[in-house]
Amino acid sequence: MNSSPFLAGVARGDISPDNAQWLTPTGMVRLLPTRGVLDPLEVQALAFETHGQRSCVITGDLRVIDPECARQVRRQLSEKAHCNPDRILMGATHNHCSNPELPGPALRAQMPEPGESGDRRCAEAVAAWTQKVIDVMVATALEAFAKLRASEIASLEALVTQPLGLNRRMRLSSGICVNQWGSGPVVPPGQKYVGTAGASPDRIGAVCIREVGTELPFAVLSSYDSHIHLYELPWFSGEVAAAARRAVESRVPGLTALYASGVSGDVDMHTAHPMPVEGEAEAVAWFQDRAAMLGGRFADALVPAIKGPLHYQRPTTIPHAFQSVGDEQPQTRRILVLGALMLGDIALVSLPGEIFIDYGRQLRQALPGKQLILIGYNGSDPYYIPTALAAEQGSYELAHGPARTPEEEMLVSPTGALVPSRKPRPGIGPKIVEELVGLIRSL
Amino acid sequence: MTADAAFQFIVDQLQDGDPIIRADAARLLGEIKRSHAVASLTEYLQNEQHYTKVAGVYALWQIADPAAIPILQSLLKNPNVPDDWYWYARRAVVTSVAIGLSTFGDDSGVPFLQDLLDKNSDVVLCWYGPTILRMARGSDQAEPVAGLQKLAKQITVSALYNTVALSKRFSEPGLLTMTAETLGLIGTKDAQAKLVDLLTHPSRYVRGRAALSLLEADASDANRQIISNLLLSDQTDFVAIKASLALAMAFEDEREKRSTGIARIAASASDSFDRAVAIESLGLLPGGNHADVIATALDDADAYVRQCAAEACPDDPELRKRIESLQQANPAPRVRLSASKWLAVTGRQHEVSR
Repeated sequence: MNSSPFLAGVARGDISPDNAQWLTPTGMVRLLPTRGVLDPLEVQALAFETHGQRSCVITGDLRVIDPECARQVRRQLSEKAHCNPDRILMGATHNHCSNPELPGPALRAQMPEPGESGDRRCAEAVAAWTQKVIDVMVATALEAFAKLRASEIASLEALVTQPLGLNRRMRLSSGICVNQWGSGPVVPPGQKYVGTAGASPDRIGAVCIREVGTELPFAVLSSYDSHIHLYELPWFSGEVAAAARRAVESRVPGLTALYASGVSGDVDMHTAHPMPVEGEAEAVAWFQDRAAMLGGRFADALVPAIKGPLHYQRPTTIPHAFQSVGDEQPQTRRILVLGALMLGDIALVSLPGEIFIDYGRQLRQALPGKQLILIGYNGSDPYYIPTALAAEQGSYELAHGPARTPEEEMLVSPTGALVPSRKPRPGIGPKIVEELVGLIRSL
Repeated sequence: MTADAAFQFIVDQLQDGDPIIRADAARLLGEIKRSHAVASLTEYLQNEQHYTKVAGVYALWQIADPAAIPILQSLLKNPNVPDDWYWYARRAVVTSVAIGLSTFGDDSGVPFLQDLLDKNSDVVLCWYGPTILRMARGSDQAEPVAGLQKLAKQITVSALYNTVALSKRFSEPGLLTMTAETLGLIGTKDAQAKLVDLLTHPSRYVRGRAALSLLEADASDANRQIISNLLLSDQTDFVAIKASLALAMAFEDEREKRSTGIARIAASASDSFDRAVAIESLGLLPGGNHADVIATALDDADAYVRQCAAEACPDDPELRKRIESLQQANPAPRVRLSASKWLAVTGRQHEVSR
């Protein structure tokens, strides 16, 4: 008999901004002041323990997880939950209706209370939300640890059969690529479309966790390789990820769903387009309808697999690996975090965001026999990580050009300090794959 | 299959569920240049809400039937696509419409183009720069478009390079490739100097386009030597194809040797895109050599190679059965479209000659 069973617990928390009207969601520029919260932003935490080894996965409706936020959450959970901070994996859905910032001058001019007092309200709202994310992440993880119960875990891979994620780079006959997000790609005169420049994600990976003695899981952590945003609404929203979670939860009683974006640098969910030509109300209605539609397709693929026969296991140990570079000089170096937790033959893999999908294929090929659940946007500094060929083909992701030298990876700010540039580094993709393969093989 | 049936097949694909297939059908109808397509293209442009509809606008330019003017005027006011103000696609749709109207002598869209030029927009300087320059210049087949000539004069090297150093125009390879095409049409000494710089760019697609543009700008002995050296030194098949094509197009005495080099790549390149580009290039060269290589490519495992082969195939009666087979049974819809174009064009020519 196992004297120290595998324990797991799950919890969720609300990180919706309390003063949304003073904030602007980030990721895409807005023309209109924020109207409010369309649907709640959430974080979820999944806690594990066996033989005194504690670990945790935190996901959230965030565009990115700020490296400093990740550091604070890890530090606090180390103290309060006695969880080794290197065993805490974090992932943002890459939500573009989240991560508020101060509204720019054009938006401020459209907002009430001009002048310093209004500016102060905006600044206070940003600071309050930033602290709220840290507090709620910590509280949610603590709640998940408080709910630990004897559990077992299984992995699955669900085939997507309806249009969902689509590679967003279209190759043209001149060899270059243009983006086919939104309502499709523009081809210049005299050229023709070749086809999408890379793979589109056709599988959802997931781990299911159920209480010992029950049939259905109480938690599922899914991973899908795609950007989830549809349009730059003047609203805070959980977007497609939240809709997918809601759809999955509605079909499996008692389930808490966690959503991770894997390697999604060149993939979007714009199979829902075109959007209405004009009208804010029509755009909002379309957004909600299409998020629900895509969420439904996600659930159509995932839920039968969740309910199907799965091979549940009870890990007796949770080996882990973690590395973070750049922390010693966070102002001048980009922070890059890599990590993994092994749960039997299931590897929960923590990696940065904006990695091109082909690197996911390379990872899986290099690690046969391992069930990889990729958790991207993990608290590293975000930037696109294209393949070498993509760097030659161009497209928005290469808008700042590939960095060719270490010096090109840095820019000098107006104050004279070196700051990380947004130039994508094609050379870093193979390095990340190599490092992760080495880390996972070592476990 | 008759030419009319093949033509109708293409027209029918304007209703396909896939916007890329609809756009490809529109592109081919433009290349066929039959006025019968204008009504169907008009309906397509009215209904299409994807930015891919630019292909239908280009088709109307090429068909050059004044019956297209009302739909273009309508689209200038309401392009019926979402306003992606954050990117550039809606502007590209309106730009294509404005240029199209100018080809019919209606300059009501020129102020829109001038406004984009004044804003140093990549849309008119890069994406549509080559088109504006070509149309303003005219060709053997087309008269110069007067309404675009004033705009064309403003598309200069200094206009292209009048932007901040870190602009994506000079860092994003796709835009840079279009910039290289524009530079070739500007053609001045300073434009050629910029093109020579681009021959060392890390992107093979920029280098390949720069090679073509340099010899389009000036087929001088010095430039011939530069491109010959590039052909010897560059490690990629893509640049080898484009440099060979540039030399073969510019110098008749290079044609046989260079087309043989392209045919060799078409038959052996491991990258299917390179094979397709080689086949496409053979189709562009006068003389119709290496038809056997093109015919072999009709059976290539890659659909885009087959598509390019169908479009590059010479009018050879012996190929008819194979093209008909492609049209009827190929699993790739766009291959069927390109095969239909071949049947529509060659069948029509034979009917006319009979």
